[in-house]
Amino acid sequence: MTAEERIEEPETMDEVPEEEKEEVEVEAKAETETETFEPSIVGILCNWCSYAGADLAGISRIQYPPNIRVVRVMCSGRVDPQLVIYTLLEGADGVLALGCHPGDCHYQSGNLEAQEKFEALLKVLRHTGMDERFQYEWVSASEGARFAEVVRGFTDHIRSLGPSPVPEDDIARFRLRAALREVSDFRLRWLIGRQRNIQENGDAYGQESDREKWDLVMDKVLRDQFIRAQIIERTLEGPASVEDMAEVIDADTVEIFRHVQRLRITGRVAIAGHRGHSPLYRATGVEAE
Amino acid sequence: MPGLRKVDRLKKLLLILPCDEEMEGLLDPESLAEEMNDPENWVFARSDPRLCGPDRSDYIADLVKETEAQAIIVGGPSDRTHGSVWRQEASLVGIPPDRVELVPLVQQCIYVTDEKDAARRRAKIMIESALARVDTGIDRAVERVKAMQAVLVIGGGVAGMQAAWDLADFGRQVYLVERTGELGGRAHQLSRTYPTQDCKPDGCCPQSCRDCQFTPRIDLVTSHPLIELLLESEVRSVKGGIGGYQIEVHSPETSRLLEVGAIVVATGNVMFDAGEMGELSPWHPDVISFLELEKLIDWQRKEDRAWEPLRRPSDGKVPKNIHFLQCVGSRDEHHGTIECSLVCCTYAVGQAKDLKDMLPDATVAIHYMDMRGPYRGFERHYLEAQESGVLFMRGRVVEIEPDNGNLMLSYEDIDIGEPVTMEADLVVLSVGQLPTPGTAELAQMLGVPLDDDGYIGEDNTTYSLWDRRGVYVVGCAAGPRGIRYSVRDGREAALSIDAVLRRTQIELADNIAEVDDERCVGCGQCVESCEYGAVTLEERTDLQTGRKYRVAIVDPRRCWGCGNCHATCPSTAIRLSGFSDDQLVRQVELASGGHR
Repeated sequence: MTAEERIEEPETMDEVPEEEKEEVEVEAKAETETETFEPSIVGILCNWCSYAGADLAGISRIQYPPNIRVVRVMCSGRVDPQLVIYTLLEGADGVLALGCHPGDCHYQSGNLEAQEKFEALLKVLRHTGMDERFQYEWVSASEGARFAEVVRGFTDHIRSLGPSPVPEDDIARFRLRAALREVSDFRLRWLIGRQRNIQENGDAYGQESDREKWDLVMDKVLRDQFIRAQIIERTLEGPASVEDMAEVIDADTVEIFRHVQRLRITGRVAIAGHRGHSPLYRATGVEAE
Repeated sequence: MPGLRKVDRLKKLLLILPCDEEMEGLLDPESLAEEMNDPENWVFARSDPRLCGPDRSDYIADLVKETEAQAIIVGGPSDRTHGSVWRQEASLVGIPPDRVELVPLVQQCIYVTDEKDAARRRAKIMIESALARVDTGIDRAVERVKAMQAVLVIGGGVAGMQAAWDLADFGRQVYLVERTGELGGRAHQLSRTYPTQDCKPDGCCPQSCRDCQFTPRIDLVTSHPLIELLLESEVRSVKGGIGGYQIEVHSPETSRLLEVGAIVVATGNVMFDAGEMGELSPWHPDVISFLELEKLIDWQRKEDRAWEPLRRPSDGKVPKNIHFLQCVGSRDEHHGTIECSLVCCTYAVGQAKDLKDMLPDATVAIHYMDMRGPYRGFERHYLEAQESGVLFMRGRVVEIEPDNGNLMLSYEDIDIGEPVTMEADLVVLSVGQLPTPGTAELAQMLGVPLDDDGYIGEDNTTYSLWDRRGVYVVGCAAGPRGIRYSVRDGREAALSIDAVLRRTQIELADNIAEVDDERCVGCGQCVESCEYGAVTLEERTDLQTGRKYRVAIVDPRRCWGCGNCHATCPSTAIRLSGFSDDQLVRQVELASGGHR
């Protein structure tokens, strides 16, 4: 839509009822934004399949949106959830991780390990509302057309989502920082690392694991850890009461209080003072990332 | 995330290749080089047709001298195709391989878009990313390991014997470990090998087929002074990697520790046991495998050199209806393997023709799905068998039932399209081939991967990693193959090993995982994540407190550089050089558009 057209609009808009007018305006705005919006997409590609697939797409002269910026790794198993969250925190509009198809991994099982990490990562990102901006796919060395298709699809998808909220939205940044803290946690990393082994070989007691049950447990663990990470992030900014925390954390005060108590026991937050009857907490023994 | 290093650390020579007209048109390499040239920040960019010409080495040497460059970034080809070429080029001017970066402007930039502006923007981002990668890289001295000169050969079949003999001929000490009490393997159980048009079985050839002059001779291998034969022995444990393996070998009365520089795996494979296919009455004495037929023929020939007719095992009658069944336990989804065994068609055709010559009045038929003969000379061989009267029946036999001392075959003849039953008095099964039991354990000890079908993988895409493994798989240990190809495998392995060990010092690849002892808590997650057994836990004792603790150590000779352990380590104590956090973080920062 050109500028001239937009100037003309008010005349015709007079006859449109109020509610509809708003809608039309919103649509018009969205349209102009998507037209000018060129998302920055970071593609993390494994050397043996996807990177070769990208090469093949080029050699086959299959065009795809040039928005994707490629970071090469040897294996998708190298892609640390930390790195993906960090990329989003840096303001990337989307992150695409590509590896070999299951069974095709150059390193036997790197992609399967990656899949476990990515699935856990998606759950973490769901809490931040950014899960739509990360996607993982398998693209083999012979799938140049598929590479282009995946990139095109993901770019369109990100275009429809609009720009990343990170640069403007404090809450979005806060949540991503908490997510980064969450996936940097030793115990969580250990759990994610164990996932595949436990699924395939059973736990330390030789008991077989049920994927559905496991997922339920993981969901719970990830939600709890996310709340705790947010508490730490919030208290790093300055002393905060449970009510203060509830303003930025998507949980009720009872739940937050429960986690604050846990963190107090493990020595990660401490009481810093009082405001009225509410104790204020501060983070101890942790550093800002 | 660990701290970032944004300083420009190295003097970088950026070479943008004017690959072709398309490149010229869309990117204008010369002006791109001019734009990227930034001597203040140690980026020296050049684009010159000489870079694509025959005297590029001299030109690059001059440039490196002029700019004192410590790293080279090449804009144009992909690392996948030209990485080794440019690393070699860089090594000529003393730049280590981890300071060479390729930017695939051709594959991932100019071919992707027609728009000049978009292409140029993309090219700049790609180049900046590569510059950052070099700058944030970890300096690592190229690691060299001393190469032990002896070689271990596991398995004394024709492939293993050939490898051992050739290596010994090159003057190397060879240990040849064989599980059974004799050398020769399956090839030496055969009375003849096919196709054999040019061989004369009637005594013109000075050798019997099993000692064919084209296969290594047992007596020569046994008597070679540099080959130490360890019969009835097994490999129990393998430590170390290329250049220095410590191998524990158990022999009947002793156990020895061998130190070798490379290992040849020639453990062969085994025949499918038809016992599980009850519908074929495998228990019946007249239903035999082709190896058992070999024994019958052999026995016959040994007992009486006058070529007495063959007799069937059950009652010693001369068989009149001999039927060969192809693909028993091969190319089958339910039994054995879905893979083809490659040799049985050739072999059954040969045996059938021999039997037809031996018993001209008998019916000799082959039941087959397709005739597959991946050999030179097979078609001639096949034609000769047809001319001599061997019947070829297309269709899979579904049932064999004993009937009145004979056998009834039921099958659907594909050519006629009808179910048929016919009588047989001797049935020969061409059984499939399966990996030798214990292959998985051996592969784990050696730190090499298994293929989906359970054989030790053949490494055909990663020639650059070939050296690092030090393990060479030959003959049927890598999947079914004929005698001549097995022998050639052995010879090839011997040549490669000799070339590698001759250097006495082996350079290890540049991207290898390293453990930060301070951060490692010894949880062992990395040990589990490593497919190659490169990471192990070592127990150490704190000298001050006397407390014992565990720490992960990486054997660089076994590490393949995938980085799985790096991303898995709960305490982020492992770092993969070449793809470290510093490098990737800097790259994603640039790629994210730097909003923050």
